[in-house]
Amino acid sequence: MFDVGDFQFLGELRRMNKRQLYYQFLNFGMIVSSALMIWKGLMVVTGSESPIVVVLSGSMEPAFYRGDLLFLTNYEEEPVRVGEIVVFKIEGRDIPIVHRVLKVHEKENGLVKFLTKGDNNQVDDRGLYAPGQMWLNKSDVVGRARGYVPYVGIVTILMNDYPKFKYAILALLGLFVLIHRE
Amino acid sequence: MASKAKTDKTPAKADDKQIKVDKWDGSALKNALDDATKKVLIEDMGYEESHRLMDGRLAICTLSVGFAMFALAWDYLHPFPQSRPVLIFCVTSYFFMMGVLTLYTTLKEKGCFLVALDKDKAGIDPPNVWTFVSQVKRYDDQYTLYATYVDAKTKAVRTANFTKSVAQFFDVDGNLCSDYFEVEVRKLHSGLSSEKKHK
Amino acid sequence: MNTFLSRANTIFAFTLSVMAALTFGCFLTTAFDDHLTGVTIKTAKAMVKHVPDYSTSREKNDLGFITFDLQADLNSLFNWNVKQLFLYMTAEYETKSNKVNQVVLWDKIIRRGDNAVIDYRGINTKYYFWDDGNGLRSNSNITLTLAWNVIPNAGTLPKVRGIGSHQFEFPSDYANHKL
Repeated sequence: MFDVGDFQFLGELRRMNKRQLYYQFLNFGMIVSSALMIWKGLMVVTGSESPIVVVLSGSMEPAFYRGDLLFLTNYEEEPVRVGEIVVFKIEGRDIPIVHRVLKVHEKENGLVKFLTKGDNNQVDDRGLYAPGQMWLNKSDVVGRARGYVPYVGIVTILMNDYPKFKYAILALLGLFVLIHRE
Repeated sequence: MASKAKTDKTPAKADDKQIKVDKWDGSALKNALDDATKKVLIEDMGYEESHRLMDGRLAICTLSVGFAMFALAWDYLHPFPQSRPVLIFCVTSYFFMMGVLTLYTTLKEKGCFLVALDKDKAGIDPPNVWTFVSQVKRYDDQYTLYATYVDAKTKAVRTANFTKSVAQFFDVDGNLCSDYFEVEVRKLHSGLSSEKKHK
Repeated sequence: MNTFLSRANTIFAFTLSVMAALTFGCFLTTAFDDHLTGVTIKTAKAMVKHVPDYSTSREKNDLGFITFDLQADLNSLFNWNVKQLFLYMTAEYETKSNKVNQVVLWDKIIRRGDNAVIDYRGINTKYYFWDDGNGLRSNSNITLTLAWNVIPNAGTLPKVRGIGSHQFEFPSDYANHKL
């Protein structure tokens, strides 16, 4: 016989009817959905496809360290100017780069090209760009840094460095929500 | 002591229906008692459970999750700048539905876990409606069960409740002693029913 | 609240919320600062060459050389929510081909606790002053400004231009290459 005593949470699950089980599943779906909708909502408000990024390299030290969190905006009407910290994508690289704008040349029609450099790097970023690429354009930009919070992103870095840890955490959280009755 | 209490109060272990919960978990205790109330009314007294309240909540939740999943799929097929109008629509709809859900649970459901219909055998008159709401405060042992009875003919509304410590319904190991609890529920029920007969 | 895990979880959640509230308070106390102060900039000498820019297209572009003086007291910009200042001196000018040109010539990181009084005389630029074309020779309106990006402990990242700028012009002849 199945000893319910050792699996009290499962005992609760077994007492549920179809509606309660479906609600349990929906509850899990709503937690995921809320996170998703907050993220998508931020995308709409900030205009950036990735409104919050985690700093993954030390190239902007001592301003930003690995694991710091940056809030981005990317409004069309904001011009790109020197001194700004931009997050940009390079063809053939998966991870966006967070660096500061060093040079800007803007034509009358608004066409703009610019060069970036990491505060902690000795040279500008031409060596990081795609082969033959000398400048960045507005279309390369994911967002410009507007807000800063230290350390908060370290969890993301841990999860990226140890994928098994990530899946274990996600599985445990998911299981807990699925079997826990309000 | 603990093992003695166990043998005294609980029925045989082979009984699969025996309900055991973590006695320190307030919501687990409440759920177990709610389920026991439901069992008395539906299985023992033969009332019919009305699922309309629960179905309403399920519909709201399903719709909200639907909005979120649609936004996810659309954003995947049409990457961000193009998907903007659809995202705006889905995000506002989702948070609107969350507001609706909050209103629904606080104003309509009000913690109600059971609506039982006392159907007329002939099937002519509309059913009398029993509504049950329970409450356990956080870190408290007092379980309060409110019953509301609406008479279909006279439209009379009567309420009654009892408050007892959960310790009276569970033994030291967290086994539900359904007999003790059933007595209380039946008392509550007959109190409201007999009032009906006085009139 | 009867198991070790549930207690640890409660303490952890409470600690996190207190720290979040404190951080937000720290941001609020400095959110409305203007981070402004005066700056003095002067150029001592300015010349321009016409040489191939090997870092880009190998085409001949104008390359400016200047030395400059810079004075500023930035102590007033620091408060408990300023981790560092990123100073950068920009040359801004207009050419026939480009409406806006901004070139950073010099920058410096000042962390809290470092000496925040800047007093340089006759120093060279840190970065090359390449134009995107041939717009430097006899350009009579080149503006030098000093600006700073305030990096807080937590909060916004304001970019502020110091009060006071300097305008100068490049000569109308290219300098001798050997110089």
